[in-house]
Amino acid sequence: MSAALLVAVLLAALLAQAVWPQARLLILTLGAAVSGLLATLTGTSGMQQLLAGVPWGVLVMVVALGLLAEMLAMSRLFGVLAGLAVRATGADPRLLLIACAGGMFLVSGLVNNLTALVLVLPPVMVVLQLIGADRRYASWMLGLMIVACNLGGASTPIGDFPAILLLGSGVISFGDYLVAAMPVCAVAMAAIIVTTALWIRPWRGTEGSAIATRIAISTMDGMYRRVHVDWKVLAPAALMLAGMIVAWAVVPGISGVTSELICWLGVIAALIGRARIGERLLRTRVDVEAVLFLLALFIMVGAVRATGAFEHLAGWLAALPLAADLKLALLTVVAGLATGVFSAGPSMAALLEVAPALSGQLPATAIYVGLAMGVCAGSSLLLTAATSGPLAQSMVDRAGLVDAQGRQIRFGFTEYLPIGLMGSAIILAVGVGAVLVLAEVAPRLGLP
Amino acid sequence: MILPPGLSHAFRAAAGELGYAAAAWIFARDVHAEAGDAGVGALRDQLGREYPVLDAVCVSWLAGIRAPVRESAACIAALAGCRRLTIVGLESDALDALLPAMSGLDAAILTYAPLPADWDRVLANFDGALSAIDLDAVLARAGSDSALLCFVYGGDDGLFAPPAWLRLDGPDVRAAFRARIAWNVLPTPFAVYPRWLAEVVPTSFTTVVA
Repeated sequence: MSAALLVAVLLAALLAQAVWPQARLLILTLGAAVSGLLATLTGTSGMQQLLAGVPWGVLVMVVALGLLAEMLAMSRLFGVLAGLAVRATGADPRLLLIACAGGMFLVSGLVNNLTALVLVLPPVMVVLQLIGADRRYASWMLGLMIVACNLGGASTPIGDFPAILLLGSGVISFGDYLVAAMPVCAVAMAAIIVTTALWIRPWRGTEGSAIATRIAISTMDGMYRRVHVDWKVLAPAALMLAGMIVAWAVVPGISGVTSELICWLGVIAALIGRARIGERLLRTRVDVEAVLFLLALFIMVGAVRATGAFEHLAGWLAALPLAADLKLALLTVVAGLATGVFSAGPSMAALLEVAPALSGQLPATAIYVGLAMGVCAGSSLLLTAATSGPLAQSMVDRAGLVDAQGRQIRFGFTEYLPIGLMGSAIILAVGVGAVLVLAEVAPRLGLP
Repeated sequence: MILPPGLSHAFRAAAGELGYAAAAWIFARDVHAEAGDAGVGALRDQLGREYPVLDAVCVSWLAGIRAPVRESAACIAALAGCRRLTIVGLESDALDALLPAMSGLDAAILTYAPLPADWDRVLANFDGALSAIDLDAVLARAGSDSALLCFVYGGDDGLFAPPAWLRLDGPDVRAAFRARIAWNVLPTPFAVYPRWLAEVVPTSFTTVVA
């Protein structure tokens, strides 16, 4: 009875936050409070136990990496790179699309998806305006950037919430995840770009004229004429990020120096490197929304865990009359579908409780990379499935983009849908293929 | 000759962050490079009514003037003794010439403008020499060593300023600043109604430099 109640609260909260994203925090914090009350009243658990079960390390990493991303943004590195990309591609719509998608993939591997979008999207929208992009081209450009954002975030253990969740919960090491996930995500990204270039060809209505191209380059040169990278900000941030990556890769887990401790020390050291900016960032730019979102989620998932529901689900998965690698493929697909409905953070948090059911039968690397790829595919399915989608939508609305005929360029659910379907299908196909391969070759590569 | 249809919105984006005149010279130069005088004529026909500063620049271009004649020395002289400067309107070329020559000057630009701009990016081009302020903060910058600088346009038949100037051209503001300087960055008469700008009288300013 208590299990049914707590599962119902979890599902209702997740569905409601997906339907009314503008009230996401209210819904989830209410859901967490109700879960706590029900767990207490039914004797399933207590608030103290639920709070003790929260993976605080994940929250530390979310806050710390968010602050590091703010520092990288303040260095103006990404704006300068966007200006260089326009010049390097000659503002050619074809090359621009590829450069923006590829660039977003790389940036998202280092900073979280929301920060990556906030950094890269504004100059891209200026270029879309300058080259006279039509609606179709603009939609594909923006949509591909969101998909690239999700894939880039999944390619490293620090790129986005689900990956941070994997690293922070200690189920897979930094190095093992990076070695296995990065190539898989890169292949999926390449497949999406090639499919778009050969099949969709969204630039057909935006064949840039020589005049528009020349003006686009001159104007971008003007807008970025003396925008320089602030090395005094970039240097401590980049140095500490590099140091953290090395530490994550080489410090053994048994030392007790955990991923979140490395992250905490590294980010604080970077902030001290520019003390005045660092203090201001700490006081004003902590991502409270992300922390509350995840905290509420962990409490609800913790309450359901206390009922034994996840163990039951894991037992059902383990008992399925399928080969182990097919069970993993099924879990990957389920992760994709669940993420499409509930969004990435909740799906990963819940499925992390189920995935260990396969750990005796398959290499951990295959299991968790499969889970990450499934979640990534789901994040890319619908505009509402990942937080970066609504953010991009509101940024485009605010920018007031218009096409060459002066009609407003809309970027919403329907405009994104074909891009999401294509991107999601490719990511899922590559992900399922990759886990089947990883299940075979991981032990031979020395991966757990 | 038909120019690409998206140029109007491209000009809007460029003028928002570079200034009407600076963007207009870029457009005239680039269109001329690809399509010659006929292209500049077409640019004037297509966008001139909507953007009068662009129209005036095209007229100048077709008359053989290939770049703005911009003397910052007169403006620098007019600012002698000022430690604090509040700027109304944006003209990136002019500010690029002025601000490096005025070291130690506390310069701020009013972000109240009819065209959208990414002000973080605009300011990043001045390497810390320029900050942004809102209308309500202007009077806090008043004082005996403080000046207002407004970019204006137009010839003998009338002087035109960004609408923000009208918000500051009252007796309360006039008395609070040491100098109110107009810098005419396009001393050419307008052939079309100067949309986006407001007519001002030269006596609104203590000094008009060109």
